[in-house]
Amino acid sequence: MFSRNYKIVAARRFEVSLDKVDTAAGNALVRVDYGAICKADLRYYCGNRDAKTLGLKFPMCLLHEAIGTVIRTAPGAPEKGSKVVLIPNIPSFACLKGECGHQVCRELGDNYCPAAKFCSSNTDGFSQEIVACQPYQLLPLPSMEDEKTAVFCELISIAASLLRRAKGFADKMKAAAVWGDGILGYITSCVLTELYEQPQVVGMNQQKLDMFPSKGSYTVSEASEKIGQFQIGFECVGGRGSETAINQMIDCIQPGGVLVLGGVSEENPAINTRKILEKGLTLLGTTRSSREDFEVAVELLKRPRFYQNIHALVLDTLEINHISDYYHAFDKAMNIRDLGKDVLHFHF
Amino acid sequence: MNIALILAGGKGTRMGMVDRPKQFLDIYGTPVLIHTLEAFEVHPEIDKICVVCLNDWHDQVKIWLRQYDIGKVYTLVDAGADRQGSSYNGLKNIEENFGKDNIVLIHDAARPMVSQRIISDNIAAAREYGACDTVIPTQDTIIRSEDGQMLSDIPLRSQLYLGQTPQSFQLDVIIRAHEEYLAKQDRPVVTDDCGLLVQQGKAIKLVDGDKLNLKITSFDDLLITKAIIRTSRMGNL
Repeated sequence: MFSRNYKIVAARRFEVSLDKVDTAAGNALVRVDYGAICKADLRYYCGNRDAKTLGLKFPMCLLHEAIGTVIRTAPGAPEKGSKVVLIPNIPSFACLKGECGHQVCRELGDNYCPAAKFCSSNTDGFSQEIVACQPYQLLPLPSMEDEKTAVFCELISIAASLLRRAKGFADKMKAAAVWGDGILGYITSCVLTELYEQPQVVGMNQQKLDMFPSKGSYTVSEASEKIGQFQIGFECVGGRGSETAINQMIDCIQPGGVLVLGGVSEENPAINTRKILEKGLTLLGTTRSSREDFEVAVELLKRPRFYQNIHALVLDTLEINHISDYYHAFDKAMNIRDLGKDVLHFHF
Repeated sequence: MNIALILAGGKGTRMGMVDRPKQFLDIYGTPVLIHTLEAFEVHPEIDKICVVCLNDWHDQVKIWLRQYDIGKVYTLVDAGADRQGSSYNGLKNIEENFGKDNIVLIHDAARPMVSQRIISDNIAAAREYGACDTVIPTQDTIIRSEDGQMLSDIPLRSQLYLGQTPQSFQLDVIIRAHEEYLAKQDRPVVTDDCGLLVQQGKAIKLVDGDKLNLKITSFDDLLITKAIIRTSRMGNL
């Protein structure tokens, strides 16, 4: 059996590729229904990585945010016909069996295992007609009014992983602040609201911040003076804004507080370590989520308020009938300034 | 129900191979027929599959069905004297087993790269219009010649398409078309199932095909198919 796949082969160059599907026993097969484009995908599309990195990655299927339908099941996988969220982490077999020699996997999760793979980073992503998956990668979705909302499961799982990373500081969660007016900041605020209390939020764009569930929103220019006390801060800024955000968080947080860094930056931010020491702050970092974070995401989507908050992030549904539609989706994604994403509906 | 009728009755004479027909050739470890069957096997809207093939190949096909875990194939039917005969044998078997109130997708075994989207679109069009044909627009100018020596006509390219498969029908519609054709004394030349309906002035909806849904008819086609797949495999280096 063959699968039509969209692969990036060079910056701003996709090709249709016909791949033989790995039908080995143990693999479930999933037809990809919906996907969404992440900033990491856009960096590959624009060629915003060094030449060596790109040379080692291309050709590769992009997208790690997707949902689909199981068309052939396997032991331990959801039954045929199930709607599922696709988990982009592929742990090593040793990790799955609990026999991995790396200590970090046991402490932080299998997604930190040096032997783990991540779709659309060091292995093919989900821009495929049919994906062969390990059962670990599939989680059944609850029925929901608009199933494409579940495309945001991956981002919800990242927000859940930020909270999981700080689970030793649960007593501080009710006095939380979130920096970042993008999708991750928004979703982190939604998750905090569901599991603890509404956070205070800080960002560049007041209009976007007005959409956040929060008990106070502040622009970056006013936050230092106006923000109330908080004991744990979540940095969801990333990119060039990371440095300003992290330093402002260090300035504003209560002594003994915890900062959880979740924004990805290629810029090596210079941060005020002196004040970290003075205040006795704890800094935690996290990126990729684990299956348990996806399980939290799926559970949260069963809550009507949370579902509505996430559904509000769907800006448009783009029908992908042809590779030219796929190009169009990427070009459009580069210019999205609103809070949310387009969802790609695949018809390979 | 939606039932796929896979025509695997060809002898492969155009391939110039003597030991096995084209639909049983191997593409990187898997027979062409199995690649084709897998596309229908995993499609959630396909309920059953009927395979038409030469009697001599029944045992081998049964072995492959077990080996590759193809569970939707409910029977193997003997091929007819030509494509029309094979198609009719399969259609009658489906009617005997499941009645006339079904959708049937007739597909060449030698088109292993059929997409899930094409199958879905065929089912929807057959249900709505009673009959459909999978086509792609022709990129090349088509030349008509009556004697094979001199150009007779250049038809308007925008009105020309290349026919692929599946061709899909409500079962009673296509069986009736076959039977009306067989009842004729002076039968016109018809090369496929949609051709029967065209002869009888029936409406057929066009469904978008795909260039990759090519038919392995000649040795060149096999090379092209294998080259397409080989190129894709470079990404795994």
